[in-house]
Amino acid sequence: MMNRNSTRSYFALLAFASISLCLSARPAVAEQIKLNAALAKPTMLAGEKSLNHLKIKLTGFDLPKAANRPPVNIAIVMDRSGSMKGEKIQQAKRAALAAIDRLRDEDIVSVITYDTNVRVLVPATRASDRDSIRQAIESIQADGNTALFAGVSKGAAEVRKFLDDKHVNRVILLSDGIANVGPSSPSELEQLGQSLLKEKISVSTLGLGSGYNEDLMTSLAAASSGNHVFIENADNLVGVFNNEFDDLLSVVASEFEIQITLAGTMRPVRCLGNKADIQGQVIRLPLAQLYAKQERYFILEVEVPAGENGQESPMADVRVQYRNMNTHTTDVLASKIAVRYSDKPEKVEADVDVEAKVLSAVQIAAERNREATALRDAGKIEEARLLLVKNATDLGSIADFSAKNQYVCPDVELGCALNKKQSAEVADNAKWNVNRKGMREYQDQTSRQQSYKEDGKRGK
Amino acid sequence: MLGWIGVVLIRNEELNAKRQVTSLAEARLNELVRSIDDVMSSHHRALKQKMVRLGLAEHLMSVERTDPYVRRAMWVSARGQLLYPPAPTINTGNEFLIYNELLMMARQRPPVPLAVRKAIAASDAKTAPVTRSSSAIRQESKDRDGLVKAQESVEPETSRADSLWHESYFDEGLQLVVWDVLPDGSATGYWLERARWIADLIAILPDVDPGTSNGATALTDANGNILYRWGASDISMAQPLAEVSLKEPLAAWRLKYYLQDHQTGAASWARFLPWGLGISAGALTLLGLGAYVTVATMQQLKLADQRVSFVGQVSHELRTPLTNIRLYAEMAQRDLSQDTPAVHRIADRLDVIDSESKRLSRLISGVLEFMQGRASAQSLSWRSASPDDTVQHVLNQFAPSLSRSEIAITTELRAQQRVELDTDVLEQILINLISNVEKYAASGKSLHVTSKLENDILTIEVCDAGHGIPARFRNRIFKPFFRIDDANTAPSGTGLGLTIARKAALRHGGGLELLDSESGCRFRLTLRVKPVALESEGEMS
Repeated sequence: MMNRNSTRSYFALLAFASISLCLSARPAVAEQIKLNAALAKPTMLAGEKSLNHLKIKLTGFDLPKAANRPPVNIAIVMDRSGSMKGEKIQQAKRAALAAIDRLRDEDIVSVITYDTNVRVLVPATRASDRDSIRQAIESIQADGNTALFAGVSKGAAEVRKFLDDKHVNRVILLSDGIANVGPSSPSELEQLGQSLLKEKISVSTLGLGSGYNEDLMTSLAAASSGNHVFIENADNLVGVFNNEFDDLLSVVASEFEIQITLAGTMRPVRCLGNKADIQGQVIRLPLAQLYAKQERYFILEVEVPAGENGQESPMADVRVQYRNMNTHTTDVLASKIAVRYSDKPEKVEADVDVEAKVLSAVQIAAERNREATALRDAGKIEEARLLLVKNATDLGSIADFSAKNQYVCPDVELGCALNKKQSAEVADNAKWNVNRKGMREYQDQTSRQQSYKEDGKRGK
Repeated sequence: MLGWIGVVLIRNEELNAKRQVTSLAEARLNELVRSIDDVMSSHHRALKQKMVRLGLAEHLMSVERTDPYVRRAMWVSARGQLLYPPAPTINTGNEFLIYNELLMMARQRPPVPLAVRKAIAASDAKTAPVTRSSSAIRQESKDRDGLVKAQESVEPETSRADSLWHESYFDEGLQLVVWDVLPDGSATGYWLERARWIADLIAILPDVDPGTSNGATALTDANGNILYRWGASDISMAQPLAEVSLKEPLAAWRLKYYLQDHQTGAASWARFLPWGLGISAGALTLLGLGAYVTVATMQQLKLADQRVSFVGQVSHELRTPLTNIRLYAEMAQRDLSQDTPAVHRIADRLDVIDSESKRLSRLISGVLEFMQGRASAQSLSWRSASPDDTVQHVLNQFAPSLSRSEIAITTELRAQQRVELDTDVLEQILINLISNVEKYAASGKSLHVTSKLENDILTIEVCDAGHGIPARFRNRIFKPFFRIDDANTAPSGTGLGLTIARKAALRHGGGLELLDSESGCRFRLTLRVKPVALESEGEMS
């Protein structure tokens, strides 16, 4: 478990500014995660209570050598129900075979298929046994119903056989259908995902075609800190699988414990896009792992009490602990955030942290997009449309703001375009099934800032 | 008339065939019920170990965050108020809903111990006098707590003082809570992550059915919904051939076995039709002969039926150690295939294989014993020995596994004197009793063995501090294949062990009985022994 002797503390001290300085006790010895915590409005207008957004951004270091990557322990859980017949199952097998080829001998892999029943086709085994694993995959044929929950249960059980902190543990679920045997509600899959995350097992869900239950697949992935991808065209499966593996094979840090302690007068409102554990003034953020060079941020919405002109108040302590997969040590990062008050609106405006403001806007838009989906589900089409239009407009002005400050964030432009398209098509019943999956994917990927999309290309 | 007899025979044969298959199927299902019970019991044990008495809120919070089986933790005052978690101030998702559920669960906390209640009553009496009845603990706490009373009409009574699990219904259905009462009367509870324990049950159930290719098995919840199934996928799930209930807390859940129709009914009709016709053709034969055939055949069929049920039960008894042996052999193989095989781990695996093999051979010799049935007292092989030596020998044999289960052994041995007895019989019975303690009463953490010799009667008592056996089952536990349904409060029984042990004791002119005990089980074994034939060795101790 955690080795306290090897724990190194890196304190990133932050005084009112938007840039954190990483002062390390032993600089440049080993690569570290970077922590950047900043307020969207480091200076707030005096005399009134208002909302502010705290950004906590983590950046993964580059892997020194590909050869040094931590071993992976994965279960490939494949839907082979009747609907997978034909091209889909062929592509799925091809994708799985390509994945097996990328594994090294010390990696661990299991293959589980499910239709009405579940079958542990390849129990957890070293990837060195490639030929028999390949043979087993080749033999998969499609037929029957969809026992998705059981498939994931068995997949997780296989991963658990070799569970340890040296491996990157992951279940990769591929399905084109809805679960119709066994527990099948999004909340049940979400609970299962939450439980698996506590064991450091993530589930990535790859939804194929337009027939799958996107709520269920996104809940499971989000709860377990895995990825979710909507794959409209089976031809893209190999590419998506490859991307999933790129991520998997480049994990640089895991076992995160991210804790924000707010000063007594501050009130936490919500963590945008992520299910945070908020107990009183202490907020814990969920994160299973960070990939090489990956940027991952959280936005915490906080209600800040009124202050007087010139006043400075401590606001939050941020503490990040993680397992460094490169050095195999447990490292700690810390940062202190304060807020100050001014009665000059132009001063407030001038001090705005560009990145924190833009990223907050991106997350707020995704939250609203979720509301729009719920409205549409409830039959309130016009309200949903207006919300999407507002989203597109807001993101449009944020795009202008970024451009003016020479800050590049593709998510803003993309979100703006998506919301615009969705608002135009939200009333179209014929397209709703596919569009709803698109919305869910956008919401989910914005929440988790996933870096790749269906076309197999990296988004950033 | 004979034609009618033929038809009766055929029908009997058909019913019998079906019964045979059914009892085989039930035996298999019961084996799975035990595995499921094992999983649930180990969850219970693990959570009980996570109970603490100090630094509660922080501890509970950390359990919630890190334990994959815990959905929420609770701390409830003696009066049923929720002390932890605090009420949510913000609703991120369904926080309010969950908190409401926690409040309901808090009201069903286990009753406050009498002593603590008296202390609370004393402090209450100063402010508001309350009438109380000494018998109804729960009712009393309800009377004093308006919240609980209001809840009663909605939620039927589900909590019992002695039950390990508390049940409630929320979200998708059955939710389980494990409670622990603290010295001050407050209680901590862990609400289990439902999806997780279901996933764990699925993980231990088979994926492909090694036995039959044309049958299917399903795990269903209280509403009959299928949670998991395996076996043939193109089968009608309308009418199960065999069906068994799971144990507490899943007593309303079932395992059902389905078989393709032609397996029993139609096929046996076709098979026995020529026979029936043949009997019809001999219609002129005497009626007496017909009656004789009927009675004789019926008796044979009954015997066959019993034998099938016996074989079914025994084969599932044998399968458990065999499964373990196979599993550990596979694991050892896998260890060996690693680049740097961990020797100690492989040694551990071999230990398990070794002890399971021994268990298997004990079972087999027990079964043979049982089948010989009427073996008489003449079959005893008398020899001169000290009973205490035999007791000590058996205890030494069990010492490693008992210490693994953290069971402390204490003895009071006063039968050192050499006498004539069959040490094999004594050893066999002791092994049975002690392995029961190890398997079903490990929670008591103690094993106490006493021995004494009085007037040619050797008396040995084996006591544990486990959950014990309810009085109403005292006698029935010695019946073959009897198992106590009420899962966790009693051992799940080997089915044959105690039967064989008692028979052996009877053969040795003694007996085996379960005595009253304050806690756990207290078995008394008596054997009639003979004084040593030739030279007397006198008192040894």
